[in-house]
Amino acid sequence: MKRFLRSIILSKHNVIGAPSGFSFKQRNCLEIFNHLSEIVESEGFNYIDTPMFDFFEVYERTLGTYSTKELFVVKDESNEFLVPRYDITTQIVRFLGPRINDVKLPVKLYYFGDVFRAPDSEWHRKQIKQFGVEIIGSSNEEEIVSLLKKLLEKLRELKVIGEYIVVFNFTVVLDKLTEGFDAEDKELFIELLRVRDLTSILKVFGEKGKEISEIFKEFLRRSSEDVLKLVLSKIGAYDNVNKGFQAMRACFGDRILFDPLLVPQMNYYNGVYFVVYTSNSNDPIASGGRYDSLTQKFGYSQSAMGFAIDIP
Amino acid sequence: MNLSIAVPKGRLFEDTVNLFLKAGIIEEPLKEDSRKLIIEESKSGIKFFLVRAKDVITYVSEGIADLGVVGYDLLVEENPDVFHLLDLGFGYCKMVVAGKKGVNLNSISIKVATKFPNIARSYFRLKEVEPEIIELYGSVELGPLVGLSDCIVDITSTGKTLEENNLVVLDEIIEITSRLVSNKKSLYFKKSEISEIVEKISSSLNNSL
Repeated sequence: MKRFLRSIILSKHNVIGAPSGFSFKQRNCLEIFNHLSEIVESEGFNYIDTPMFDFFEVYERTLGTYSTKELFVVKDESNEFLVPRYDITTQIVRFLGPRINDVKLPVKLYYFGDVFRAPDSEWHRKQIKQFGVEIIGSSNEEEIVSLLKKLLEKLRELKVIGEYIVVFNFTVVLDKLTEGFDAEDKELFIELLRVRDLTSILKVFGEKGKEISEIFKEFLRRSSEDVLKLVLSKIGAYDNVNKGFQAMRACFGDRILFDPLLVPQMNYYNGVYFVVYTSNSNDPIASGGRYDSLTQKFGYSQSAMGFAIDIP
Repeated sequence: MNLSIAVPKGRLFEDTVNLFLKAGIIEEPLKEDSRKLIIEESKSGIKFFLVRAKDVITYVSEGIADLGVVGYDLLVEENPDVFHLLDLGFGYCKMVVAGKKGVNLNSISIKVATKFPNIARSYFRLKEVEPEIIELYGSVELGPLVGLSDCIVDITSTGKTLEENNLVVLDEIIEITSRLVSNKKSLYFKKSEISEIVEKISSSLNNSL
């Protein structure tokens, strides 16, 4: 009892644990990294290492309010606000800005490193080891999607992940559903949609809420193909959506699920975006999508697409 | 059916069990005072976890339970990473600010006793007031009576407890009902099973989503 009271009252312990959301690990992630990098290098990707800290302004410029809440922020010696990197894609797109006219397109890069996020929940990891790839200067979506499949299959072979499912959507779907909304309404709508709070959407947005409820009901009942037809009938025919859907189907077969109400984690996507769930982890194992508009935030305009795998 | 559902003990328990019976999800009523914490419905194979209302969110968001029943008050307060699938309609109450008559809610030094610190803070921020929050776990109404706080933020259904303690509703914040929530991954991996449960509950509520 004395030992326990010394421990709780005087805070005298022999062991100092890791802060909540951080942990010690003995799994050798480098081994996984080596397997994945072998695959991407054989497809012409080059390695890039990015700074562990970046300016707050970089992320403020590119992320939505929801994501900026998840930034850790520190000050450097000259009182500049810095952020332990939250997202490596943003850094790569920004890095290429001043060099875009001097490099041969498409630029194909891959990375491996930690990102830091401060989620609301104390249960979630705050330091995430990511392996990611980016293609900038090419609109060939099939290339990135088939690479995702190769890497996921490798992770399955290595028994890092179990069965997986690729859930995807297109930004045009949410843009059409929020057409006519001002920026604040759109933000509220998207955040309510993120948790499918259809009751509040109905109360706040009236008719639009009914439309969303109908789509959700059909999503629960129908196949991805039927849901796609319904959505296209509501938002108008979009060739890119149809093509994107077919590309996902051709690559992943039955492992896809089209969720027209899926909200992107990053608000810089402008085309197809996806998350991958696996049977042996509660959080998504990977996410990515097309992000041409992100290049515009850093002064150039290129087609771009990529994804990051969160190594468990 | 390979599904698990977290059922809240307490205020919402009876209505939840009655709804599940009516919807044909269970054949025999679950018993709140049962010592068994995991009950498996023999016909459907669905597992039910009997947990504290506040813990439903943890079990579902961590993927231990696929589905759960929880009050909207806790969802707003905790903002967990789950999907709200259905408004179940029961457990209706209101989140209110209450206190003795004449309390100035715009006072810059207001003290608020509550079980819902995030909701209380957001409400007062709308008034551009940064309140002193005193977090309590029960009998919040005692706060203003003994001078611990100026007012409370809490749920009320009939207003009887407030009335018996000479407190009045000073403002209404939000209406509360109970919700069926799902783990995000479960919705994608077990879409057909979850869809079946949602359909059964929707028809018994006569509520088309």
